[in-house]
This record gives sequence, structure tokens and C-alpha cells, in this order.
Amino acid sequence: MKLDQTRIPLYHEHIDYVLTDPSVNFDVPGHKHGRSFPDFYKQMMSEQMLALDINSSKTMDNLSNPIGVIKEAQELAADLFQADQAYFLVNGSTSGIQNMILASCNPNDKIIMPRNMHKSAINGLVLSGALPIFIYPEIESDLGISMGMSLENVKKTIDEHQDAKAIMILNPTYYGYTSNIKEITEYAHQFGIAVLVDESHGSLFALSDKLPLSGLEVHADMVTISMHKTGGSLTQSSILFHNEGLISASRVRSVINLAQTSSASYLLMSSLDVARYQLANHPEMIDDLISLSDYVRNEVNKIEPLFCPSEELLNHDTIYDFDQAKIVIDVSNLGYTGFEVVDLLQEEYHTQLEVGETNVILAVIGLGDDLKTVEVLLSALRSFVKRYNKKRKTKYSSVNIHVPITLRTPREAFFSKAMMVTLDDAIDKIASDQIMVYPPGIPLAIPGELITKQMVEEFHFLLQMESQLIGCTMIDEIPYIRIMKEGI
Amino acid sequence: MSHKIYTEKWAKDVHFSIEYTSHIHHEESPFQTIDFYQSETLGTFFTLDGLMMVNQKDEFSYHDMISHVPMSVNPNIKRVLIIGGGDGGTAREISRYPHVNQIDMVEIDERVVKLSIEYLPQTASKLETDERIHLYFEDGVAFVNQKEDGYYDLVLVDSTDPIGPGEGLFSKQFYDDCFRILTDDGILINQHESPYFDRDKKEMIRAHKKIKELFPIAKVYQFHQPTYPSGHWLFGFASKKLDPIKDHKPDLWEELDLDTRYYNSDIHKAAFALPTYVRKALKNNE
Repeated sequence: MKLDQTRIPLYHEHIDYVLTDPSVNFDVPGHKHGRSFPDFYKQMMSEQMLALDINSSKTMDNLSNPIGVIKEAQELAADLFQADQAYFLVNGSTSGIQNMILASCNPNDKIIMPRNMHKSAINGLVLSGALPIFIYPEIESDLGISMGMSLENVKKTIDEHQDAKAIMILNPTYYGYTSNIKEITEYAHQFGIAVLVDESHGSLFALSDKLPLSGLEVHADMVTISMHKTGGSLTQSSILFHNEGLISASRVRSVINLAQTSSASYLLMSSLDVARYQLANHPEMIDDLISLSDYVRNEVNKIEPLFCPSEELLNHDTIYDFDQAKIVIDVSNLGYTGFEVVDLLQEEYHTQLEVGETNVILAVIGLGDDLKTVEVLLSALRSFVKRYNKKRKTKYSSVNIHVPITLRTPREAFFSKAMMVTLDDAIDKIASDQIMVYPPGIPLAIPGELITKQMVEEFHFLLQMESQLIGCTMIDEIPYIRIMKEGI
Repeated sequence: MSHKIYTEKWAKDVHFSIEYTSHIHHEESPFQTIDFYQSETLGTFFTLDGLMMVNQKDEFSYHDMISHVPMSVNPNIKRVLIIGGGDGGTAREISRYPHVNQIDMVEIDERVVKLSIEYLPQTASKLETDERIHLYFEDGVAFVNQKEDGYYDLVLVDSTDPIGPGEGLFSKQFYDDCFRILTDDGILINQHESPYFDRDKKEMIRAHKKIKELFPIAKVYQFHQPTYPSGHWLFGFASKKLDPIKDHKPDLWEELDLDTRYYNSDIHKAAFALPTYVRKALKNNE
């Protein structure tokens, strides 16, 4: 680090501007320091916070073209995370992922990505017109969740598509598992393929040796982190990092400005500055978080028949490493699905988990947790198991992997005329919507892909197994999906 | 110009006349008298036993309304049975739906089909070109009686009036069989006569009474057919569980982008709103 990380330039300027600057505002927002809000809202939100909701100005800089305090705050973030550039985002990592795709791909350019990427990546394909080349992640059969990509698979795909412009890596998956990001990045770079890292669920990776490797530590070209998820900033605030080389800074700048608001919230941006300050000056918080998470994992494993996987799952490839702060708990021996367990924990114990799937639930331990809060989770789990254990195994239906046949780019499919047809009528037609199945959170089809007979049989099977199918509508008890009208 | 006039008796003292330019064809088939005419205003038209069946100018209202109303209530119709409909217009409309797999058309009088193909390609053109259409020249009453249970998703009774060959198509036995051969989501649409002139009104009431006794859902809807007696005509919508209004799926239908001249999603709803005298006539006889 070269810069003085004890500085919080954006935050301090923000506070000074609102609290000490004597100017009377004749700019937006029209609520003028919150004065027009009704009293109940002022009291609930605190008048000070409402006054802090301001617009960009010469003093406060502008996110669309930062030259002052925002620039300084972004430079401090880039310095801490060891990237050439940092860009604050106020529309979450969704915008970061889309910006990465738009910055690296023109229409019809190839981009390699894992099949279990976030929906925002598919939307990024629609926006950019890029052609996806998918790599199937491993599906861990006991947990029923998708993991990382195998290095061999990545190499093979790159060899076959050396003209690809970018490869996207999920680091980590929603459940905290990573691929061999270092070797993947090195291999891609040999071919001049830009490496884009979706690090939405790994904001702290770059800041601790005890956590998995960050895309920033292996010199990926672009990395998006959701500071708001685990980095301690306010919801919706993320950071996009860029390392120069394959993608130019000017391209990144213009891509970001395509869809970013010209009235970015200073509450969100200040919170990024403060979260960065805290992580830089209190690295022990991350160590504490990891110890606390290890404690939780150990304790959960004492509660029969729950199972909280850790190192033993690692295979140096598709499950290369894992994020200790993601507490994945296999609940399949209770006779309940993860969906049910999450609901019951909320209803009966006022304990809100991150997500549930067929076989597992996920608890996220955060910087704000301590022994007291995790004890609430642990005692809820202990009591739950006593009260609800049906002592039988819920069945996980495994999903067969289909190699997709892409007939149109997602963009072409998205903008073509579409219609709803029954599943059976969709055979040999082109999907116009994404169809997702949980578990394991993998799209069965994305816009532009051929729907095959085998796929439709799989749909029917999954529906029978009561899997969650998103993008499939029941009408008069018959499943319908949306297809491209063209070619019928 | 010589006065060549076709006249149809709508009531004992009300007549409807068309001045035609030529009488294209006349024959006595084993079942009925068939005449084809040419008129300047209505184009080609044909009559059976002296009653107007189809003309080029207004056939679209009838064929739109018999087809698209059920098709937009159940978007998963695969097998369709058309009873009658020898002019081919109903089959033409149904064949516009790509998801329909099978269209069986049972017409008692082969001559009507053959002559329509020859003189009225506007309605009959699909009969010979669409592979999903299967023609059966036999009695509809016997056909449905021999068909297995739960076979069709949609039965369209596109018949003449209940005099002559159309008579059996208004019988209880026939409706029983229609109910039986329909799937659980199945829909029956029948030509339901007209509420205005006495003779048609009597048949309307009779038909409704029989269907109402059989089907949990039995509604009547109206449309405007200028060359049929009074111009005010009805179809019956009967089904085991789908309601024509509650289960109407306009969004799905709109996506199909079918170019129609009469039917649209607003008309669909409006068609089931009946004038008070029609409601009364149907209700008094329930």
C-alpha cells in the first residue's frame, strides 16, 4: 500500500459539506436536507441522515467523472485492494458484472463462463450481444450445489475457443467455493483472453491470506466485489476493479457511464469509503470473523445429524478452496428440505438465514457478528434438530448436464418476438427466457439455446420432484415456457 | 341487367334477398340441395336447401368466433374435432395454431367439401394442404358415438340448422357423446341459432337446455353475422371446467399475433354479455 489508508476523504468532505458549509441549497434534491419529509419519517430515519442525502457538486465531486474526493476515495480503494483502478458502483455488483462483459466484448464476441453464473451475467450477454461458451461446474452430489470449474475443462475450452475475448470466473460460488483461479488466469492470459472475476461473494478475499485467493491477487483484468455483502458497506454499494493491459481504462469509463445513474447516492458512496477505511485499519476484524466462523462450523458439526463441510471437501480443482464465513449446512438427514428449514428457523426462532435449497441451508457470518449472535444461531439449530428431526433422508434429484446448443446470441433471442407454449411444444424451439432450476441453481436453458427433447423430459422430471423451476409458468396445471417465435 | 334474385325466408313475412350476377352451380346431393352463386357485393356464396351458409364477405365473423374463443381459453388444445364445416373456414382458422396436432373434420356431405374447394378457396384452401386436417365423410352423430372417451380437447359443431342432415346434431344423444369424448379441459362450441326470429329462437332454447343439463359450464355468446337471419347469431360454449371469462388468457393469445378481422380480446369478453331478452329466454327455460 502506498497511500495513507487512515484517510476517509469522501466521508469527511460529505459530513463537512452538510454540517458546516453555510451555503443555502438551490439544487436538488428538493426535500432540502430532509425538511419536506413528514415528522414520523424524519424521526425514524434521523434528520441528520436525511440531510446527508445530497447531490453532486464541485465540492462533492461527481461519480460519472470523478476529479475530487470521489477520485481520492476510489484511489484509496484501489490501493488497498491492489488494483490499477477502482470504480464505486451504486447499483450493486449486477452493474459491475455487466460492465465487465460490456468492457471486454463487442456483439458476437465469445465469452467463456461457468454455467452457474449469476443472472446478471446473462443480462450482460443480452446487453452486449456477446456469445457465451459455457463450462459446466462440478455439482457436488451430496450437497446438491454447484461448485467450481475444473482447470482441465477450462484449458480444453480455451484451446477450442482461442478467439474468445474474455473468461468469467465465479470466485466464489454463492456457497463460498472457488476454482483454481490462479492457473485459470495464467492460462487465459497466454491467449490474450481477459479474465473477469465475479467476486460478489468474496469481498474480503483480497485482504486476508486465510481466505481463498482473490482475482486481484492473481492479476485478473477486472474484478467486481459486493462491498455491501460482506465488506461492511451499505446495500447496493459495490466496487469494480480494473487492471490495465487487455482492457483500456477509457473503455471501462465509458461502459460504466452507459447505465450508471448521474445522481449517485452519497450515503452509499460514503459508506464504501468508510468500509474501506475500516478494513484497511482493522485487519484483525477479518481474522476474528474467520475464527468465529470456524467456531460456528465446529459447533454445528457437533449437532447430529447436521453436517457442515470444510477442508475435507476440497479436491484441488473444482472445489479448490472455500470461504470459511459461509456456513453451508447439510440438513438432508433431518427429513426436511433446506427451504423448509429456512422457513421454520424464521418462523419459530426468528433466525433469518441467507438461503435454503433442497439439501442445504446457508448462514453467512459477517463482520458484525460476535459470539453472542452466533450463539442465537447455534441454539436455534440445536433446538430445531431436537424438535423436528424426522430421522430420514430427503432425496436430492440430480440434474443431468446438457451441453447447450446455442443458435442465437442471448441478445438476438431477447429482442426477438416470443410466445408461450407448453413444455412439450417447445421441443426443437429456441428459448427466449432463462429457465433456472434450484437445486443446484443452474440454468437449463438461456435465451438463444435450443430446447431438446431430452431437456423437456428433464423438466418434467424436475417438476415431479417439486424442484423450483424459474422461467416456467403453470397455466391450468400445465407447464409453459417462452420461446422465440421465429422458425415456427 | 336481368333480375336474378336469391331470396331466403327469415320469418313468414320477412325476406332477405340478394341480387346475384350468376348462378354458378346447382345440384341435389344425397343429403341436400346445393347452390353456388356469385354476387357483386357478397362475392361467391352458397346455400344448402335454400339457406345461406357462407359468403366471401362476412364468413370471417363466424369462423373467427367459433375458433378463437375456445382457443384463447385453453392454449393447450391438441386435438380438434369439427362436425360439419364443409366449407373449410373453421378448419382454416384452427390450422393457424401451430400447437394443434390433429384436426378431424366430419362432414356428412362430401359434395359440399368438393364444391367449396372448387368455388370457394377462400375458406376451403387449407383442407387439401394442411397435413393435420383429416376429412371424414360420414355422419357426425355416428362418428362421435364410436369415438373413445376423452379424445378431443375441442369439439366444434359447425352445423346447419336442425332440419334435414343437421337434425341429429341437436339431439341429447349427440351432446352426451360430445361430453364423453372430450378431455377434462375439453370445450364444446356449437352453432346456437339466433334469439330473434321465432323458429331460430326455439332451437336456441332447446339446444341450451340440453347442454346445460350436461356440462358444468354452459354459456352462450353472440356475434354479428349480417347474412344470417336477423344478423344476430349465437354460439354455445360448454366445458367441464374452463370458464370462458375467468380462464380467458388474452396475453398468451395476443403473443400469437394472429391477424383476425372480427375476433379480439375485448370482443371475447363482450360477446358473453347478452341482451336482456336473450338472457331471459335462456333463463326461463333452464
